[in-house]
Amino acid sequence: MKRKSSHLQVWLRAFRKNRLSIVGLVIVLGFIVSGLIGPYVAPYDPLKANYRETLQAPSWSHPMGTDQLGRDIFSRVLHGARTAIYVGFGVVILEAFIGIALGLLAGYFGGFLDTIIMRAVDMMLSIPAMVLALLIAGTSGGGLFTIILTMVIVSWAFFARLMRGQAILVRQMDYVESARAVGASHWRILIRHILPNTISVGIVFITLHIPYMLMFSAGLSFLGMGVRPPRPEWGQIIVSGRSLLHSAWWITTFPGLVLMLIVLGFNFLGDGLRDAFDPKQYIKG
Amino acid sequence: MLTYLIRRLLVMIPIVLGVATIVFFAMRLAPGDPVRIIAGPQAPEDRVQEIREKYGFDKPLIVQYTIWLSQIVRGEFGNSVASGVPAIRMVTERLGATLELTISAFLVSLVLSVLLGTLAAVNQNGFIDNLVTFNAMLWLSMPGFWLGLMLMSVLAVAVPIFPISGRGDAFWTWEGIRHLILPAVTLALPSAGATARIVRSSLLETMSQDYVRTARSKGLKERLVVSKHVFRNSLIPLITLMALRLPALFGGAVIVESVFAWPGLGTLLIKAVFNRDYAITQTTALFIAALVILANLLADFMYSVADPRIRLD
Repeated sequence: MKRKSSHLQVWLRAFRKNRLSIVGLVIVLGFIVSGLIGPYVAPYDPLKANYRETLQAPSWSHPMGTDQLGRDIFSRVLHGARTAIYVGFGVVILEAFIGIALGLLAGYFGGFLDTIIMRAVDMMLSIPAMVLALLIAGTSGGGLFTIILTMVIVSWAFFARLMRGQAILVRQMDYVESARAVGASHWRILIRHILPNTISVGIVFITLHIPYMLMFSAGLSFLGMGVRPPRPEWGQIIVSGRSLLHSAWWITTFPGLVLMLIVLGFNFLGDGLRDAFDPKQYIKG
Repeated sequence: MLTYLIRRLLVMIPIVLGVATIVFFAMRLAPGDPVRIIAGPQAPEDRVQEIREKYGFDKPLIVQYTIWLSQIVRGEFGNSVASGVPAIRMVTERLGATLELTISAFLVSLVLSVLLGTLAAVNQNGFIDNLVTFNAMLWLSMPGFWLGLMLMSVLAVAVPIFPISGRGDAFWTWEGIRHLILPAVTLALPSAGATARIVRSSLLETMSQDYVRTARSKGLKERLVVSKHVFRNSLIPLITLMALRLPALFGGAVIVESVFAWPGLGTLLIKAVFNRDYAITQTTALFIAALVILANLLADFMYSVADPRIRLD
């Protein structure tokens, strides 16, 4: 008799089947590793000016060239990975707490609580995130924590709306009905039944939202309202080459390419996770 | 239909008020004194005090809020502290430029995504499908401002086909179009990438429906099956999706305007934020939010046009 495979095995098989998602996973892991060890292995000091080597084209000693202060772009990009890790993961972790809590409460209890939370969501979604972020970050200076907080404020509503929809779907399931029949408390149902059955959608959302937040943070830096120097940040490096497009294209091009590659990686990974979490996979498996 | 419209407009009122509240407090969350920035660093203390009283910054926050709210309800948006020009005039002057940019980007993105999505769907898993899917993914993985700078660097600096920045004449003139193309494409591509993927999967889902099989089995030409049966029935998710992209489009316009020095609401907003020009900032943000809300309303009407089964009352 054929052994029945566990959910995890089916899931892993589904995930591995998609070659792009493996590519995505490798890129994302590479990003995390560079964020962790990048600052220790970077060949040059990302902040120290070297006026004898300004605006050098890419070469063996400076694979991504140097900027107008003679700083090595590659080292700055490596240090920037650390900032990107803080921003990307910091934002989605905070956002996940708020979004999951509010979304599940609204969807599970419904009624007045739902109305209040969803009205707030409607209002937040009516103001483009970038516009609201400008209002908050533009006036409050560019500390790393301020930027993270700003991005959480402007983006929690997407997550809350998604989780609410999921909670409404799961709420109608028979197992929730039975749990209630045997006298489980609302709290227990939320934690033991609703949360585990909605979390896969949340994980996919988080995976696809991290790259979006990385681009958003770079965009804020471009407008001069992101993470402040001297902390190296990709958007900042890109914008520093803006007036040198005709002579030193490498300053703008390479950090952007790195950012794009990482965003692609997260997108491949997120798509792969979504397909693997798709219940149709379990029927086939 | 009319009752529906009235109800929708009434629902908009609390949302707009809520948005106004968020806009007001978002700017005041921050430490930092706007009066000092207006007065300049060397201003004497009595001058600072005078400005503080003139603009009402000496009152408690909640009083400032009620005064401001009662003013905007009456249509008074205040004057720019930097230039003294009424905020409403500065905003309406620039509204046209932003609408021109976002609407052209919207159209480019719509045409591209429907075209590419359909091409991919009818060639499912073929070479064209892979090419389209890969490109769509690439576009939505590029930060808008970087894409803008790259396009500028290639098509305006290295090979000067298009002007580097600014807005030309009216958009129906050659000069106007030449200035519009790069910003519009920059704003449209990430959005087109996202939508093309959805168009593809939406079409594929419709293609597996029974009525499509029936249409095929009665010997209808493939082109007719796609255009008459598949397309019409895939429109609704497309409309929802395009409407959902609108806030992102207006938000993206802020950045794209800044890349190409496009004289719209975005560049106005950024300058006002830097100058702590509250009247301008708040009015601009409110107008952009109103555009988003109106666009969503429009999308709801489009549903009923696309699908007669959806009744709006």
